[in-house]
Amino acid sequence: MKPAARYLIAILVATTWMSAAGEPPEQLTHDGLLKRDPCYVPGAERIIFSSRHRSPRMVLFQLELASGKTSRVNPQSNLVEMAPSYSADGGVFCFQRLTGNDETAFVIQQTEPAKTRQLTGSRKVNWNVQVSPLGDEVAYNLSGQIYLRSLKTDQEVQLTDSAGRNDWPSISPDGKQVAFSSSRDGNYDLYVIERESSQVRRLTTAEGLDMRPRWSPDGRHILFTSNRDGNYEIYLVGVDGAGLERLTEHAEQDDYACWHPGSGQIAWVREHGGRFDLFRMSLPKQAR
Amino acid sequence: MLQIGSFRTGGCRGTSRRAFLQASFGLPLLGSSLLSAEKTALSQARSVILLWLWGGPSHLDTFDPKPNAPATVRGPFSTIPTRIPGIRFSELFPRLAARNDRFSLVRSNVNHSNAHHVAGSIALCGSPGRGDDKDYDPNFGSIVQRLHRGRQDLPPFIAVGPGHLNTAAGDIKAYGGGVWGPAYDPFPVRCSEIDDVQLPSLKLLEGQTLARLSDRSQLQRELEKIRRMDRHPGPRQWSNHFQRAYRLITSEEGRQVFDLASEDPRTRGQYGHTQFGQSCLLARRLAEAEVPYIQVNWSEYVENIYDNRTDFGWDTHWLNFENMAERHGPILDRSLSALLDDLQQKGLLDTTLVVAMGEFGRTPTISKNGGRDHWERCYFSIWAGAGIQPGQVVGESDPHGNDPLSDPVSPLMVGTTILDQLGIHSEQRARLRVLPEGKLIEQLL
Repeated sequence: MKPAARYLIAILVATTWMSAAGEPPEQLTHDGLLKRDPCYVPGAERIIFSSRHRSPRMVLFQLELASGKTSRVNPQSNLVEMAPSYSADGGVFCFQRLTGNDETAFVIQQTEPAKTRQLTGSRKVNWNVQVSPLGDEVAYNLSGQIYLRSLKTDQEVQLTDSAGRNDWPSISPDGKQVAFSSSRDGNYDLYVIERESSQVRRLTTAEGLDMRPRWSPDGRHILFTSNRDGNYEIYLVGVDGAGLERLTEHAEQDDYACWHPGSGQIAWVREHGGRFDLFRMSLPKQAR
Repeated sequence: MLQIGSFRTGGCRGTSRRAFLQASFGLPLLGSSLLSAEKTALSQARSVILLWLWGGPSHLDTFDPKPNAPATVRGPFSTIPTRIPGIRFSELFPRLAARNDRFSLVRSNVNHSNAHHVAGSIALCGSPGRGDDKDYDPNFGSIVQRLHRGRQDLPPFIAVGPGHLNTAAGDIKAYGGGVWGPAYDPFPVRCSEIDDVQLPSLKLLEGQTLARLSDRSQLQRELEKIRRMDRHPGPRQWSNHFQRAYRLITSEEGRQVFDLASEDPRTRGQYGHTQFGQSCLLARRLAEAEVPYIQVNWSEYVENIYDNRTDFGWDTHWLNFENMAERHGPILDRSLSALLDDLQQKGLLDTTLVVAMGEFGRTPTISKNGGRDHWERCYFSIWAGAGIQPGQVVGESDPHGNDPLSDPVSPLMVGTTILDQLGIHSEQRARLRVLPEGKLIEQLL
């Protein structure tokens, strides 16, 4: 059999690999370029993600799910763009932009009233920004601690102040809690902080890297990436730390999971044959 | 019609491949009289692949973790066991941990400067410059190039990567010939994650046709015109680059080496479709073609994020842990593992020396910016292949990774060991006045 034919078969096998949940993942993009940070647009007609464009830049693209077509989100921009996120009602769109030598800014686009503004942080590099589902604030990592910034008052509040690193914040749908990864107890595990009481509870305890938590739109579950089995895979856990479930089982990396607005489906970046594409799948019934 | 300047290859993008095939058709092998199978000397290594981790990888977050150090030093990553009892790597390197009985690790490299452009020059030529960041000795590859007597259709010193090595503070000086001049600079090849291979030197010949190239007098006039338009290279360097490009263009065998599209797709996938992964694959092809010195550059710029680019060098003052987890760790783990596997499967590991290193390590103590800064007092290098005893761990650093406790390894020793493995021994080095009195890293051999 010719190498190309064998390769096609291997790709076919990879793309129809059953997830641990029993659903065959669906491959959404096919260019294989480096990708990260997918997020569904409320309404779920599109997915916005960051990908290579005229190397070495990563910029935002949008994938129309009905047609499979991709296009630049900001075709006139020549700046690096990452970490897109939406408020639940679609009224606020936020992403991160590189603005100079080791400097970043957040771009906030609001629909009502329609305006776009660029926020710079108190220090140069703020990272992994996420807008809250309520659309009233953003959470981000600054020098290993989690910060929140109100979009109404611009006031910045430091949410964590612990040993180790705190990163990848995700605000709960009601805005009262924030999930994040922290190495305060050794290696990266998942934690949730109650904002009013500042109480912190630990969700995971495994050896290995638990990162990029994403709170489900219905508030019941948290998606995250972990290498606890030796390879980056997507996992699901209840917000009380119960019901841990592995969602992908694949020889290469699965990472950057995001929720469909209806909570029953996820999209993520899968490395397959050394290439990077967006995939999606439905969740098992108990997690819907 | 042969259009030389568009010499690119790419399996997924058919138009560039067409240009490649056009270039192949009907060419006389003008360089064939120069071909020779002669080797420089009896030696263990026929080729060297230097993986240049530009920017300075953290030794603590890679291959010299300190799990018992305070959180402000050890960082957030777990450690995993390796094939060597008692040796643990960062959790970001599971593939290399499963292969470290096939390579050796130095945990006691030291450099003389904590500035990228200075330390980088020293690391690539083996000794400090003679003045204020100038008058450096030639790059190890330039020495190899000067002594090379093998096949002439391929340049003997090739730099594969996204571009010329830079920092925000300026170019790296010992990128090539140093005090010998730019005639001994590497032949640059650009390799991208979308499989395109570009040879910038061939842009000198943009628009030239085979008829014109075959007419030497016409060619000289054309080249003189181009040379006058180019403000950078002097006549010697220009001539040198052109001659190498010309030989390459006119050798079908030479050109085919750069055609990644002809590689088994599974092999390409094993390296990963990243710029570094595909560059490593190209390096294997070049070693297979007996190119004696190949330097694969991780990035063009040292900076992790710089200006309006995400070149992602290893200079992680900010976002060290984010990028280590998201990008640097997985890519290096995959690409280097694939390179070692591939070389072994093809029977090339016995004759190919693989070295992976940067210009220094990073501060053991995490900075206030949440990253790690420059640290020249202690860092790592990985060695595999020709003449290297696999599974060795040379040197040990102190409990926080500040300094070596034993067996400090200088850039001079690195260069001496590399060249010695290629058969360029102390007498030849002395004649060339390079790497004076350099000692070998005996524990590796």
